[in-house]
Amino acid sequence: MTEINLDDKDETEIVQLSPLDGMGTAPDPAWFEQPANELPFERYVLTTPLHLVAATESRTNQWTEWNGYTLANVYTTVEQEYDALRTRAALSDISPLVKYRISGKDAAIYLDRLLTQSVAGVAVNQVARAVLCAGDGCIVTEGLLFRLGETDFRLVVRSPHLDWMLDSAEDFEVGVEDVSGTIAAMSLCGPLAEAVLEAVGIEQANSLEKAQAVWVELGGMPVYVSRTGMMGGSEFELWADPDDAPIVWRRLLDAGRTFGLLPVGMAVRNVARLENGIALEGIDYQSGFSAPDLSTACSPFDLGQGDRVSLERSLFNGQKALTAIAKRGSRHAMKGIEVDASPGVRIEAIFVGDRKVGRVTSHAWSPRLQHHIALALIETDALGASSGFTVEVNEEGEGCKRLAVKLEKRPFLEFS
Amino acid sequence: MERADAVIIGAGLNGLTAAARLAGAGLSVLVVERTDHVGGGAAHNELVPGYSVPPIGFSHGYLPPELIREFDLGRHGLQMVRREGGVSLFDDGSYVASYTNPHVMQRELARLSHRDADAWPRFARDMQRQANYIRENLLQTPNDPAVRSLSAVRTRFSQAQQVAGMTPDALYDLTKFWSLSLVDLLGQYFESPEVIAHLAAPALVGRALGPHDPTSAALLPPLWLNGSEGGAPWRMSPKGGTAALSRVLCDIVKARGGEIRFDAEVTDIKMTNKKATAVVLADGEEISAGLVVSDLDIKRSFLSLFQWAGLPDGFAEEVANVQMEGIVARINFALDALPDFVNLPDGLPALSGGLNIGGAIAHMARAYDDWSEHYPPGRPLLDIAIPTLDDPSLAPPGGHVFAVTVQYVPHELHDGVWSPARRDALMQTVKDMISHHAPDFEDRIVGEELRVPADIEDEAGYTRGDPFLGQMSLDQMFFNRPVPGYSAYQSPISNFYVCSASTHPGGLAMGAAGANAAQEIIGSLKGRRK
Repeated sequence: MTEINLDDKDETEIVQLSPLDGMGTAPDPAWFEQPANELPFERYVLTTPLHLVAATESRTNQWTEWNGYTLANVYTTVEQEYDALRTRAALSDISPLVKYRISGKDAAIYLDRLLTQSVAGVAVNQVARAVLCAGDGCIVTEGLLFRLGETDFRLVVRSPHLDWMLDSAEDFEVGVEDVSGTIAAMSLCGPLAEAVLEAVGIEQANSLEKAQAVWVELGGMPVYVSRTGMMGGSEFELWADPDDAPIVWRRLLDAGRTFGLLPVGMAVRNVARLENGIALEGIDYQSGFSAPDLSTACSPFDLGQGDRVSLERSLFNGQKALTAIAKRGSRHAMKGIEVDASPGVRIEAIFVGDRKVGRVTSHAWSPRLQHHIALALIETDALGASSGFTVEVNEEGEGCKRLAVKLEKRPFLEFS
Repeated sequence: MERADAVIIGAGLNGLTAAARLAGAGLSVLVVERTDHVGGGAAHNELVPGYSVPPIGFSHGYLPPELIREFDLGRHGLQMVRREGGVSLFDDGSYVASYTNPHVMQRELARLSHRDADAWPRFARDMQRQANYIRENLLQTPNDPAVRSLSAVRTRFSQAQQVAGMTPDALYDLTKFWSLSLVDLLGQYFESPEVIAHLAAPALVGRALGPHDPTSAALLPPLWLNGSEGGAPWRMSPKGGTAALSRVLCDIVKARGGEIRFDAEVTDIKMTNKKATAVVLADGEEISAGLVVSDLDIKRSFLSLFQWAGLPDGFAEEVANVQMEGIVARINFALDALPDFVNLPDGLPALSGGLNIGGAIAHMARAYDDWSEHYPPGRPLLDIAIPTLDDPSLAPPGGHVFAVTVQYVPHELHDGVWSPARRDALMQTVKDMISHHAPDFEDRIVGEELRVPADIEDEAGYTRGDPFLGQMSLDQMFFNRPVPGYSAYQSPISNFYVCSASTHPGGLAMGAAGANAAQEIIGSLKGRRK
């Protein structure tokens, strides 16, 4: 504890006021700081490196949890944030993603073994979708693979699996390291995202193609910028040192003000990724490594991502099971559905006639489509029926009723 | 002569659930209890004025929610308390704790090994899967493959379909979990010896197995019956201990018109035409019974209540061969304050789930070897419950109770009996082990008591002091429990049933054996009426 000596106090120093003194008071970083050597039980949910700056922006104090971290669910209102994301620009904290550094002579061979697709075609500073499958063909986790150098990769995924990756790394000359704590991440998306980046001095942004990345310098801070994301439309992700990240965030918000940039919480990001038709591990399906009930796990084919699996190559994790699934077909499939219901209803199961044929895994009201959109995991043998699907919705004041739905192609919204 | 449709011998948890179900089905029910209280081994007593301790029995377990709903236990006053998953302390002062929050659990494991932290979700997934298989089978009579009735064949067919529907991996897992040793199974997930010891210790308590014995891995999934959200499983127990549960069940039996008579020890069963027709009490009184249900262990039920000559050929021998082993001693300490465990951080929430002091796997294996050769344990495995942490009413303000289950204490010693000197030595061993971590422990003691397996046998009536009334080894589970051919709670004697933890599902679920037995009896009565 610091002792405060009132006599020695410098008259010109700005007094750190109490948070009760209202807006305009700079919050003391110590309120949010995580003490070194904090024991696991002392804080059930951790804060990201961007928590302090995010807390300053929050007008609602609505938070949510992702991967054991606190994240803003809504900063202002869902409507404003949605508009910003789809018509202007939106900035979000995505630091809870799990990051691994994979490097060494055999890094590429090792990754070929680990992922469902070969990394041979991935050039330096290029990004590929990464899907990791267990021996039974179920997805363990998925995410992005960045090639930082010839023998240096960064794998960014949704859940941690270091033990398994190390087991698989035996006999390879490769180092696998969890670097999650050393990298903070932000997502910047929306039609004006490019303009915002240019405004802070990242001119390389407009020449960056999809799934490409580049190292830039922002006020002396190294930032890795990639043209990636899952909201659809023009979007970037920025990867920076945890100490630099709050400053990068601040700069983006300041420069973005003229473009109508807003910080956007998880609630709207969930709507946007659904509009883009993306199913997420941990939400729409469970990792094959953590699902006690196998029917909640999915293979890439179940998700309609068979194109992310290249079977005809040397041995990789899940190859045998995936070959079998490719031959006999999936047990269930993730499909997009649209429901004509007003906002605020709950949708859980999907039926053909009176038979329950699947579960709705996530759903949201799309302000753009003025529809409920949902992802549903449906038994394959029911998919032969091209029509006749119904869902049960519970509408306030209207009671429970069955509504006909149709299967829609994903993404629900197309972006140029 | 007094008469009841059903006479239940023993007011333990299973006797009471059986009585409650039978009374609910309209039978006149009389429960006769040898002691002056309900709850059998689960009853509380007062160690020193103001300190209440459960003398025997385990501090937490699985009470099926179906039974809570059926008997409306919540409305009758039962409150279940959820506790965090417990702590293990090691000689060098390091510790491992378990948390129900998955992220906190993973961060705790990461203190010891980052790799083990990431292995946790897979371990939790597999444990939950196995616990789900077990849970499905708890509240039904085991399906005996030797029975060839139409309904039995039908159930078996549906089970076969279930198995056929399993993926090969799931089948391999199933065989793996029922055959491997604890250490081998845990070693497939974890590398840190502390983590392995921490996860193995609670599974071993009460079991006549060592950590390296084949089939000991099967002891792990039952710890997950209370469910998990990806973290460690909850440890649950009734507020006020199992005594509170017994009292609530007692009220329900009475409310349903049943009667409970205390200080009434049954010494004999009267038979007419090979049918049990009456029970004889110690004072010579006879009570006529439509049927008799025994909540005594399998050996006492048959070997002490019947003339052996009246039992079918070979049956007495078969019962005598059931493996019942005294393996735990119980020490209760009344403490005027919580001792200061110097290496545990203040406010460690996992402590409410209990404290293991047993050291490394090698120490447990050694203690088991001592036990097999009937030596007093040089270094037992201590499973310490501190019920006063979340129920302070069990002790005066500030005071605490340590209920220590001392694992690997033999029923008989190789060279004699548990003499007072031997008991003092065991007591001192335990005190020294605790004092190693909490130097002020002995100064805090205001009362203490020790029960070796023989004491448990005398007081609770468990043969050889076996806390499970028959070891839960693979050969004594499911359709082989209590003895082959009699897994449906029936016996070779018409109208005589067994409902104690000696029957399926034994110690896996509180009160389930009694409820299942009653169900079986009601079913057979209906069949008879037709």
